[in-house]
Amino acid sequence: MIAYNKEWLDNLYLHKKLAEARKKNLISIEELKSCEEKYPVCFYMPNFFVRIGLLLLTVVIAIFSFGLIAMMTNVTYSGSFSGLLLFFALISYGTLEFIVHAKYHYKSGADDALIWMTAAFITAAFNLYGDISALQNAIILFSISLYIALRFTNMLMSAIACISLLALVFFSYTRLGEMAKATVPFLIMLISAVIYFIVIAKQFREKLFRYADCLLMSEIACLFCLYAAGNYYVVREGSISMFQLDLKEGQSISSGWLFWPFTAIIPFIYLAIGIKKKNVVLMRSGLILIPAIIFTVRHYYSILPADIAMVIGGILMIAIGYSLIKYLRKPKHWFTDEGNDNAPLNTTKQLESLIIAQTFAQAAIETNSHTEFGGGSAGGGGAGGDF
Amino acid sequence: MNQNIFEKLHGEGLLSDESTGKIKSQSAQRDLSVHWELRTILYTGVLLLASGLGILVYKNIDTISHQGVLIFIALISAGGFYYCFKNKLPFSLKKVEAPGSFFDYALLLACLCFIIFIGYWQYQFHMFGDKFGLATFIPMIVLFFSAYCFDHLGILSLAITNLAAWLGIVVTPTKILKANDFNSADIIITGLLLGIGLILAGKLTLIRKIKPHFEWMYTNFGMHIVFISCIAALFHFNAVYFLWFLALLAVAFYFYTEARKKNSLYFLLMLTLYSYTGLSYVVIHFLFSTVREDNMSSAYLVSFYFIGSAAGLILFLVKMNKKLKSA
Repeated sequence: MIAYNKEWLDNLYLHKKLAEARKKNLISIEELKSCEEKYPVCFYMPNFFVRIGLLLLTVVIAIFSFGLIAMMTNVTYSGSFSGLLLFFALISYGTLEFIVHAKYHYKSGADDALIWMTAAFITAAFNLYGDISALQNAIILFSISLYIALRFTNMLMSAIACISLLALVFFSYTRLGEMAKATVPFLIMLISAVIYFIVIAKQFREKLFRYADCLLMSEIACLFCLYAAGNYYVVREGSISMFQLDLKEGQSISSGWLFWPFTAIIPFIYLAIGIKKKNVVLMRSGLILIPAIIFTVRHYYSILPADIAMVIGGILMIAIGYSLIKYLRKPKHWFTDEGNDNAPLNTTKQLESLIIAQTFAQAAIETNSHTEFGGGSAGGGGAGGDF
Repeated sequence: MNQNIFEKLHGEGLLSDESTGKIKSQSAQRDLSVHWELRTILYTGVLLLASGLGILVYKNIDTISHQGVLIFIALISAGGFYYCFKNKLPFSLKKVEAPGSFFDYALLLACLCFIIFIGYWQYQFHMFGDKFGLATFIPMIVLFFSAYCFDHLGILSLAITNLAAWLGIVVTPTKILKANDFNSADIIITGLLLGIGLILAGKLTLIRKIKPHFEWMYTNFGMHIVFISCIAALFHFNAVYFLWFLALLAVAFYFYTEARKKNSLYFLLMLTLYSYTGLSYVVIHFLFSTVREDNMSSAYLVSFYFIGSAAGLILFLVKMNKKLKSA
């Protein structure tokens, strides 16, 4: 099923493990070299930045080829336009298979771009052909993303497959009537949980070890969908926009109280289980979702003005972070504060600094520009539409 | 499964007994690292506290309580700087490691609170007058001083954005295109000079060996500002656009030699994308201004140009990737 050379994929995994072991100084350079020689990887895998460049340029080529052919064939009505899109999807897919098989591309940027172009062309073709219902769209998306995830072990596509599967369930179940509309959040939560437990099952993981990244992404997607389906904000606003409920400001959905516990507790459950089982995915998901609780509560009940809430939250987080770092100075309960990042420290530092410039400079400069500069009125400058 | 791999390699004689033993004992006792989680919590805390205080001061500006807030901000800033001065390792022109994991965040908080404090004084009392941009100049000096004194790359990046703000430009990474009015000749020229200045500062840092690890930050900011200014000039000074295109190519060539020297594919990608944007503008401009009577054929030519040039650039990047193996 996988388009890439499987032996090389396995060797690539081996190389990764060996490199990690080398970094921790567990094996010698000679050992690393001889292992890598015995198990070669002949994929074309360019550097990360070259990958980005190839991705952008491949998209440029595809879009302008499409424009060129559209101009030449002079298609005007939607039917033939869809045909052209489908034709282009076929060409993209053909090129994709070609560069993977004949040129051994693997995550080279070119194959990434063609994967996404294929999916986008097919989806666009169906949508432009006629009025397509949300359910039909979910089916189309699910089939495409599942196929691509299986064939090209694409992480993001596997997440899209999970989400579109849930959407598929959602749209087909809510057709059954009012009762279904009221219970659909629970069904989505249930199915997310079922997929989650399938995806993390040990036998499954071992059998599909080449899909490790895909399974990980699906795992994360399920955790977030499970929370979203039980989140009060998502359920209330979702019901309003999807089922044309006419709710006034401050009016709750029927049995809305049921969703508050889900909203408030699920992240902490993730966090607690994550800490107890030392499951990084659960732990991080819990941490990321804690702000979601705060935003949801604050959206309906203004307990504190935002600035005071920020100050208190900031102090609390600094205190928690500070005391935990102090506490874990020596590893305790199998937890440690020691860094184990694989990225070279230099790159991490540089990235961190750019994030600081991005997030803080705004606050810093805006407070100052109250008096000095009239502030940049958004001019129409910048790189024009030619890229 | 991991174990199996290494055991298999051991069986084939590719790994020594010693290494296999090491790997085994390593995987047996493994603590889970929460290093980045804790750093993220601290970082978010600093971000929340600083922005919360910033808003709080301005919202309560005419009430009595804002003085309390102000004192609070001053205390945090003073406390942070005190903590940093007390704990810092002796100054050196080389890289100095932070003495503890809390150090970097304390310094960040202290600096941010200081900026808010100065900004408030200026807003309320026009302490520094309305001339010379003293209200941004003083924080900038403090930021540069802190960056060098405590060896903090993040503060340096803040200092550089502040330097740009002092000159009237926004260089926050994702805002650089949106927030600036690149239709004004002043901004374009200032940007160009600032960018060149930063690149020179980066060079000096290396030559004089003053904190050489700061060089990347200067060069990176300088590169983006110079390229964007050049492209903006290309759009703005329509009459002499070809001269600006040549300038753009000259800058690109400079960074090409730098990228070769540094083995950096990041710089290579950036210079490729920026010069491609410039080149595409020139080509489109040329095609649509010369073949004016027939727009359709120009559109064809533009499409051909993009397909051909993108394919060419792909070959170029692939070739360069082979030449420069590491980033």
